[in-house]
Amino acid sequence: MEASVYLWDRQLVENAQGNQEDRIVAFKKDGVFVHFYNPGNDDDKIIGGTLSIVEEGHKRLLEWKPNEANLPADEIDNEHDTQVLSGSSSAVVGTEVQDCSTGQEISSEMRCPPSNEGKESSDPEWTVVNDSGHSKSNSVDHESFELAMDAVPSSQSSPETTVPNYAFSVQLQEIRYIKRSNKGLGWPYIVLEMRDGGTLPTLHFHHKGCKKFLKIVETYVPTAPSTKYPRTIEILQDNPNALAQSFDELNLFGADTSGQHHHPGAFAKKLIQDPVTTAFSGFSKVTNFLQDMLNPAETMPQSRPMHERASVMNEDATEAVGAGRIQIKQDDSSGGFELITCAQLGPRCDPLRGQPLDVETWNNHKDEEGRIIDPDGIKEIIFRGGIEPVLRKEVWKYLLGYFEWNMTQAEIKSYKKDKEDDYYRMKLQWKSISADQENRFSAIRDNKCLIEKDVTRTDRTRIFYEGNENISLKLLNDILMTYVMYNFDLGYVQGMSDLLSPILEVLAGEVDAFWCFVGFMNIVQHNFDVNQMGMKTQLKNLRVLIQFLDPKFWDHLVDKESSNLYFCFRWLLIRFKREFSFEDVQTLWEVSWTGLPCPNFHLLICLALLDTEKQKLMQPECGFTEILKHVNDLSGSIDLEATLRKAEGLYLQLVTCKRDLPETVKDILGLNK
Amino acid sequence: MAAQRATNNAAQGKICQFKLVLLGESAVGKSSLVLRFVKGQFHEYQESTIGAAFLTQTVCLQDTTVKFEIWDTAGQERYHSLAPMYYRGAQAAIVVYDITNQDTFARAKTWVRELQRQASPNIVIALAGNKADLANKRMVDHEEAAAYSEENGLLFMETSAKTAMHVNEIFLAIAEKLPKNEGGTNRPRPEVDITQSNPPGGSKGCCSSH
Ligand SMILES: Nc1nc2c(ncn2[C@@H]2O[C@H](COP(=O)(O)OP(=O)(O)OP(=O)(O)O)[C@@H](O)[C@H]2O)c(=O)[nH]1
Ligand SMILES: [Mg+2]
Repeated sequence: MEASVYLWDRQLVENAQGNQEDRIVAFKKDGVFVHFYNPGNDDDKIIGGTLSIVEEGHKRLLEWKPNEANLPADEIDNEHDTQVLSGSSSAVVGTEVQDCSTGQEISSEMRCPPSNEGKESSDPEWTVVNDSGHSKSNSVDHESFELAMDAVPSSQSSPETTVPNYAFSVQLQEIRYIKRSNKGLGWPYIVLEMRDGGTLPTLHFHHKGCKKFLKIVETYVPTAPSTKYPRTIEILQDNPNALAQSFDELNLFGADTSGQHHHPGAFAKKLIQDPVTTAFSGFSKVTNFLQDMLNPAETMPQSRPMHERASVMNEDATEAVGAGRIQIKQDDSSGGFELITCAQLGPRCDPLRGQPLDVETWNNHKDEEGRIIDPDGIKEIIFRGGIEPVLRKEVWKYLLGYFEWNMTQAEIKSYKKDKEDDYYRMKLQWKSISADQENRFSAIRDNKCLIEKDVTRTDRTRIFYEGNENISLKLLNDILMTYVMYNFDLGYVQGMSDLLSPILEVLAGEVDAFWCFVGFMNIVQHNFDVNQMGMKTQLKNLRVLIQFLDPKFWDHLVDKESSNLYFCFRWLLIRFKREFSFEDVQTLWEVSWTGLPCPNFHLLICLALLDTEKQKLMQPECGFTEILKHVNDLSGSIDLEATLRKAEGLYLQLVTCKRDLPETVKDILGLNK
Repeated sequence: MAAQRATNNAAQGKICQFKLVLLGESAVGKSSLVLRFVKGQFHEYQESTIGAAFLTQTVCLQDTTVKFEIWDTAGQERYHSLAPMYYRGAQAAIVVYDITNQDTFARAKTWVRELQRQASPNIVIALAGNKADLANKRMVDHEEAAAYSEENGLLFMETSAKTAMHVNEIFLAIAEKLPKNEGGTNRPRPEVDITQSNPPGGSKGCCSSH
């Protein structure tokens, strides 16, 4: 980082500023005061000024300059001052918005007696200024001044006192902490602590805008609430890849499942600062550490390059323990976890795949009344080889939970009748909404609109959905609309049409397809949560697995700012629907619907895919965008059978050392039962 | 056909790389615009975008080769929370609406507002009123959108990914408006002397897709 201007003399600051044309004043706030303590006089000077955020080339500067023709505070109309100070403190406001209010602007403009009557408040005070860098100066809001003034000393020094020409200009990145004053202490002020430990003069927001200022700072630099100080935000060191940063801002992995509210980075930071002590005193926290690693942007002391961090982690934590083959175990009651290294996993085998479930085998698994005997055996066959296409139509109903395995044919007949009625009842609900009604029913309208948009562009190259008058399009539409009525809280979300399309083509009947779709949605509906919770959880679990199974690859991803695993988003959201041929998607889905060999097997499929592509993904020039592009472009060229074998191989590798796996991994794969 | 306007003197120029993001309501034609610009194609049944797609395309101005890194996002509101990842650090954005749908224009305005608030302050924003070929179904006035763009300092064109109308033009207009010193403000790239590296696309001139 370039050294910042960190000057106290206004002239110097101005001189040091680059070419005015290269400077873009992005934000400007008048009425920000520096209270200058004058030791000789034992009183304070209050200097009104302007705080701005300026872009100068690549630099983001925070600047404070005294107002032109600034006056020492003591030249202010005394009456005003008195008025201010006699303001009632009883009205001190608890809310952030109000406690910023004040009626004073101590600047040249103040010399005109303010007319209090009828003056409209001219908020917002933050003016987004255009490229010319000129900002409309904010007029003063002369609201009644009702703040406790204890925190603000009055200034009664003699007019002769010279007020030094202070100003500063610092890069935002050089600031480490922004500490906010407590609520209710008069106007808000902030203390800026620099990375080098120094502080800038306290900035007093006599007018509203402190909170807004902080908000704006947050849009310019990565920040996090400080763990060290209350009411303080910490400016993290710049992450050159803003993409990764912003994804982390979404806090994709921030869901603190442990319910702890410690700063996730705290342990990691300590570990890096003092690896040995921390590591040995904190082994019980090894999983916390891993957990912490789930949040790299917040966790990593960003001053350290990622590769350095990785090596610290390897040498001092993992390997210090792993090299000596020490196993650190803790009983589960304490909530601790053990640390085991990858080296302790056995070799990975390449399991055989089998033949698809055929008609004969299927029929042999039915008793005379039509119940399916040994459904587990059937699932095992399907897991190993899929289903022959002609059988899918029948078997999927069981796999997706539409039919129960132990239903007789007679039971199925009446059950189907019920389900049919149920379907048409729900279909009628949306069908019978009149156009007039719809005008006042935006929720239905929106869903309808989204579905229409997607139906016209789902798998239209397949014969089944070809052409504009195709009945399948109508079915696709109607089933999705009926699903909206079935699960109104969720509604239609993009991606669902992709999940329905193969089901409708296989089942070929509206009602059956609907209920099978419901069965599939029951498995994946959290992928479509409004808050993205389901996706977050999955990505987080995938992350745990990668970290454990392939730490080297993981380090690479961290290094390439891809640790958010966002490139797997499409894989997970629609269960690889866009990655494989239609035929392969059917096989993949039926394999995964068996629930074998473990929960979250699809995450092991992700791992298998990544493992296959690892060489390419780990090329040094392969960054965030390249990784995403490469993964997107895999579509249509993946060998399904090889992928399934590899995924199962990973599973077997893990399950053979089941007792030694970290709890998190066991939880994900359901090995704790 | 992909973006044209290859000029020979570009060979003496520099390469600038810019990140451009496409935003806008679902099905307004973001992916179609990118496909037209990058590959010169149009797919009537262009599938919806899940997550995001990344493409690159290079255009040549007088003395500069501009390489766009294009992020095409998913339009549905449900995936809105992912958008900041893509427009963060973008030097340019195309906010797309569908001229046959008033709601998409309203949505475009909210995107513009969000970009003005949250994206890099000097981001170049272009507004594209797409599906201009469907003039008989028009619901958004050209004048209204033009006036709005004027007020907000946006580049504005009505486009058609289907007929290719104004597709290259809007990208070129953005390329022209972007500051060419050091390849953009937020993600500086070292200037590459084009004489030392093979211009992408070889004999096709220096404009090609990747
Ligand atoms: N007539 C016409 N149709 C278009 C045009 N551009 C796109 N379309 C059609 O509009 C539909 C949606 O286009 P997409 O490019 O997928 O839209 P999108 O904005 O990428 O949508 P999401 O990925 O869901 O955000 C497709 O069926 C296109 O064929 C156009 O210029 N004219
Ligand atoms: Mg798209």
